[in-house]
Amino acid sequence: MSLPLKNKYVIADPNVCIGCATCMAACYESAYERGKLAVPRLIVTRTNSGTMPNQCRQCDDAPCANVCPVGALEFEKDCIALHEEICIGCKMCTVACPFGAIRPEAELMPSIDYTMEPKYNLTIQSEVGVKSIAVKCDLCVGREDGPSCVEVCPTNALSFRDNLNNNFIEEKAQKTVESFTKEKMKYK
Amino acid sequence: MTNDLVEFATHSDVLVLIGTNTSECHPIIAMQMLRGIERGAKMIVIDPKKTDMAKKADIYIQTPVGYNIPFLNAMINYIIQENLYDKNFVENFSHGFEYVKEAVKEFTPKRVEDETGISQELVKQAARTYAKANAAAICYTMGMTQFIDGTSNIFSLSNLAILTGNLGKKGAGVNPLRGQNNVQGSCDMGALPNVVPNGPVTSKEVRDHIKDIWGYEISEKIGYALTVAPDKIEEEKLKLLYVFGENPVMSDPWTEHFVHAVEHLETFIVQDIFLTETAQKADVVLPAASWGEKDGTFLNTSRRVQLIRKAVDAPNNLDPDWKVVANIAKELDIKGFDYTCAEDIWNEVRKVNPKFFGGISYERIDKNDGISWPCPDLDHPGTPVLYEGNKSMLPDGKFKLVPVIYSEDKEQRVKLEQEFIEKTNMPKDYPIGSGALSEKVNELYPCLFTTGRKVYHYHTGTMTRECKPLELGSDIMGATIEVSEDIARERKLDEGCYALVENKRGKIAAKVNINRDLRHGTIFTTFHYAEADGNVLANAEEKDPLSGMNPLKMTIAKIKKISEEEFLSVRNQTDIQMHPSELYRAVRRQ
Repeated sequence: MSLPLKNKYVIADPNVCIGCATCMAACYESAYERGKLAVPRLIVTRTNSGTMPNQCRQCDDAPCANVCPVGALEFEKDCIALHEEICIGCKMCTVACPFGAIRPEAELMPSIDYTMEPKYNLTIQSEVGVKSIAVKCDLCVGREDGPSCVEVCPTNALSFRDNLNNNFIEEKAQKTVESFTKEKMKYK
Repeated sequence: MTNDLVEFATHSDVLVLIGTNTSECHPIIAMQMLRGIERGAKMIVIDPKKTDMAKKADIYIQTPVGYNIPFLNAMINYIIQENLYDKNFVENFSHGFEYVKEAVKEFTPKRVEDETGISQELVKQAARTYAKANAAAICYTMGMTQFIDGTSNIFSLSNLAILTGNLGKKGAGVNPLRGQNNVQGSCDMGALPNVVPNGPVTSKEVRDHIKDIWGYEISEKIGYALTVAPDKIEEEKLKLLYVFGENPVMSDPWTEHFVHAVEHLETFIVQDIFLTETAQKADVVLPAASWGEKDGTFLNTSRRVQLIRKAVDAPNNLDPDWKVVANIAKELDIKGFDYTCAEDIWNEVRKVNPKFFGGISYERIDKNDGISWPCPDLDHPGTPVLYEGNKSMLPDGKFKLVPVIYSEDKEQRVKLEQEFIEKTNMPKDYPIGSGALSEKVNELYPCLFTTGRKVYHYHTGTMTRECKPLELGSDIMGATIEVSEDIARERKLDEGCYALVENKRGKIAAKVNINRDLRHGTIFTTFHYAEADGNVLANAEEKDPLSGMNPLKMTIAKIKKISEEEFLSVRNQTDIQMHPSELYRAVRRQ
């Protein structure tokens, strides 16, 4: 018997993802609408072997929440919550996260001409006068229809795992054993 | 496209993607392709960049930029040698097999391997997979057409399709994936120098038909191609330029030359929804209603006529584009522009070209959710698949195989073509194509330079860069210069350092992104960003002899690392060139 899966999370399927980055646009918009720091919380990552969005896995024993010195990252009942107003921008969580799914960010300031000062300077070495805070997937908490990335994905590559049971693990295990035994039969 | 794009999902057995980054530039079409792959279709991708589609492909071939004709000829040669071609189709429905056979005989997969290092087995495998498929579709975009041998590249693709009988059936065909929602439509409507909506201006029959409807005699002279416009402006043969929903300062090659040329214009009018880089240089800027604010039709890449209805009213009661044109015509006292709505204009289109559009009424488009031309009468269901029954649109109903030769020296193309015609006794009016490289890398400019798109921005970013979720959400990179690993290694470029790319036409500066997906010796950048626009370096001097297209996808350049101060100084110069007035700079980009 295994533990019930407690935390909800969003995950992508690289075989179906076409890297269109609509999820990132939706993420920005959702964050903006909910009054959070308006930056995307999932990043479509393009590698030599494939492309998919990368985001927080809402780990049960989350290293980011364990390491946070001010309690900005908190173990909630079904996710890891981030309180932006408490975050001091120390970047410990960024170092601790094994997925690269939490990063310091800051919003653009209207007074700066970013055509001259590229906006991606604003990540780890933040501009003077801009306080960076950690951002990570918050599962669009407060949004009625759930995570907006899942809703907009044109190929259904993103899915929201919120059915908190582990039936699918058993299903997968059975499938694997079936295909293995079938293969094995061939070489008896 | 000869076929409909949904057939990739439902009917294609093999998809050949050449010179297209489908998932980034045409995500919706890529989605259909992925459905096809899930169904069991095989995919062959041929591109200098290992795109996302290449990563999902069964066969991926990384060709050098511009190396299309020797490669395609080798495929054709192998298909002929191995008897993989469709003899019935070639004999009964096409001309010119012997010419093509002659033209490709020196091109072997072995030669491809010697010249580029691409394994000959891979070329053979691709040829076999394509030729043996029941229905194989070729899809291409600007990575085939924007070269000085672009038309010949497409001749080669159509040769492949004719040889293997991949025409006139579902899921096959030669499919240019169009880059705009209505680029097929604008070509069909005659927005080209040589045609009117019902055919070429050189045909008397076409002109007479137009005269019957419009009451005007139209000129039989072919107009200037867009690519010669800057030269003609400088020669003072072109005095007025009216730019509609386009941003040629950024999208035309060799920006410096273009900007210089438009200063010579007597009148420069731009009509757009935003104050683009081009509009900032205009004498008169006319505001325009955007796509959600007007009625009309779009003709998509599958030749399907689709209705678009106004969702919101345009601000300040702006007129739709057709009305603006009609108003100008009225001011000029030109008769025949008394339309009351977009449907009136469409009904005139149906009269002008009844063979294609006669049966496509607004009512029917609405009911059927779009109809593909040709659709000559109201009972015709439309033609999603062209050439059914293996009948071409040429007068004799047969397809033409066009021999495409290759010249190492671009100056020798005409001579070699002439020699080939004499050698094979081809009829004088039979088409022939030839390939050559517009520029070859040299000591001064040792890197191949090509341009492309990023999925989150559309063309010159006129609309998408104004959209915050895209500009600030999807696009977290900004303008970058992508370099292959070997270039970065040799020049000690680090990820994220500043670099300057230059050639004789201009220079751009941006941060470096080392992209392992690029073929060695290649620099890639986009044309979305005014601050680092790849077209600044693009070749505007040379043109395809048949279409007039510039080799936008290929030039040569050098790259070096620069300091932040140098970077800012180049950026500043670029900014002043693109946005001459400080006032405008503040309007355009926050």
